[in-house]
Amino acid sequence: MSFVRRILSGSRLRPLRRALVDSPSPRSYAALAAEHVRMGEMEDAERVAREGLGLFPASVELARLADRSRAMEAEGRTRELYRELRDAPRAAVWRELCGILLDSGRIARAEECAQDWFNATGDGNAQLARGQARCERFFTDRRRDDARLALELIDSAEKLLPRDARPLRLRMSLYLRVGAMADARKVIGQLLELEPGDSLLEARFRSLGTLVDPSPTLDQALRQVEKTGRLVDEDAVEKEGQASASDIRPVLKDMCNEPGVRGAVYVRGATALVQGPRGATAERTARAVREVVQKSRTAARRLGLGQALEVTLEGDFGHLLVCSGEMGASALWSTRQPTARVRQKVVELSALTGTSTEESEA
Amino acid sequence: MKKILEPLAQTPGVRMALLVAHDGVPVVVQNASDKAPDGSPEASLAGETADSLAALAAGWLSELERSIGPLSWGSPRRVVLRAARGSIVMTHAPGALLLTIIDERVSPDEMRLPMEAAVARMERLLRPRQELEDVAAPVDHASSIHAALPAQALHNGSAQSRADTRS
Repeated sequence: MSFVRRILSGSRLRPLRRALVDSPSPRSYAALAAEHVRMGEMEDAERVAREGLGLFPASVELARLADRSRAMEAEGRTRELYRELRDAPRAAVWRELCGILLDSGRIARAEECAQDWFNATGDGNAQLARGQARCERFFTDRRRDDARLALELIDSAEKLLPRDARPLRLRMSLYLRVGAMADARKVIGQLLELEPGDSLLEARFRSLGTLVDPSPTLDQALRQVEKTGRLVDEDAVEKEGQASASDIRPVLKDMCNEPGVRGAVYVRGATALVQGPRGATAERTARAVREVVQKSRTAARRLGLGQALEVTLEGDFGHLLVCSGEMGASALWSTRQPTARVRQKVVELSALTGTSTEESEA
Repeated sequence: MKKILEPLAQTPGVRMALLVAHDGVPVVVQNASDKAPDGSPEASLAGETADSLAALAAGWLSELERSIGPLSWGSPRRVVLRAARGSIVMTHAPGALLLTIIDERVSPDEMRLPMEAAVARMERLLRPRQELEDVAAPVDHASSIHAALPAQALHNGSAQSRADTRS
């Protein structure tokens, strides 16, 4: 930054800093962070926003500013690295660029960058970066083919980097997240040979010993992840955040009161709540919705579209809108096209982290 | 048919437009990914061949039909799947399925009108032939009857004239 610009910016920052000292509030923190952003000082902007978040953790504006300034900082660094690669391509630049792109969630670009790196150097680290990118793609989309390709790339990286623990660690994290515990235990054994005395690995090796017996094979585990769209560690998180069916029932009733709505369903795992249809029809409706969700999730992944969010069926029967959330799925059956308000309700319901404990009907 | 799908494929945000037979065989494929840069979602999707895409989509539709079958619901006329990295929109066309893959930034509702227009054009394209066949069929039938008739007509006519003379 030029000397003149620094003086000018200092004069603008000083009153904002004073206001922050006099009355520390989310607004005063945000004003100072925003001024840093305007001056192109992304690092300072992020620092101020994070400091504010420490005092006011619920502030949406500060969180947004912190994320934005971090993203802009990464963007600026990415541009510099691309320029550097054009002038003097070398492994360190490629490695940093891949890391930044992966951190910012730009998986396709990261994979492309790693591919260029591997083509230029044939380096094992490049192959490992490709494996990391493909793993990230798998964790995002949950497609079996992505996991297989990631494992092939890790195999190749292991050959190029013998006695290196990083490919093994990547393989271990993939196995653990899909629930292939027996395979994960074997990898941890290999890691312990490379890094003997690692207490964390030893503890994990022992704890996995009890989980190995009912553990699915890698192929079964990948198939299960593709089918359900859920990783094993997410199941653990889900069990912690259970809510009751009483939270969901009023929303379903409310949806059914809308004109033209013939039924509303919330499904999660093997259980379902149905509002509208009665008796055997309620069970059939719940089963149909569950199958539509499962088949659509699998289809979206196989088609390379990522996670399925919403399915709409239109026909002689009317409209069936199914929204698939992280934990469960909600559906609405109506005679006419659902209004934006009703649609919003269905989306919100699917995003609920609640669960029902019994199959019931109203 | 290619000309009908062309405007659909050129719509901003459409990655691919396909006409697929009900058994999953692609009939016409219009791909918007030829001009896509490497690494973009379009290019990654292009990796998926139209064959596999068509088969997967048709298979998925038949699975959906099986799922809603127990509710006595017929085959869905229009199916939309919105996902994290794009959407797929399917609609019934004459004797086939019209399918488009669109970007995540495009709303599937925006595809309703262009796809219905494409289906309508297909129906118009097929209608004259059908009408011709419909028209041609009675003519042929008539001519064939006509060809077979003279003797019969003459016979009937003579029989009738004989009846008249008798009366």
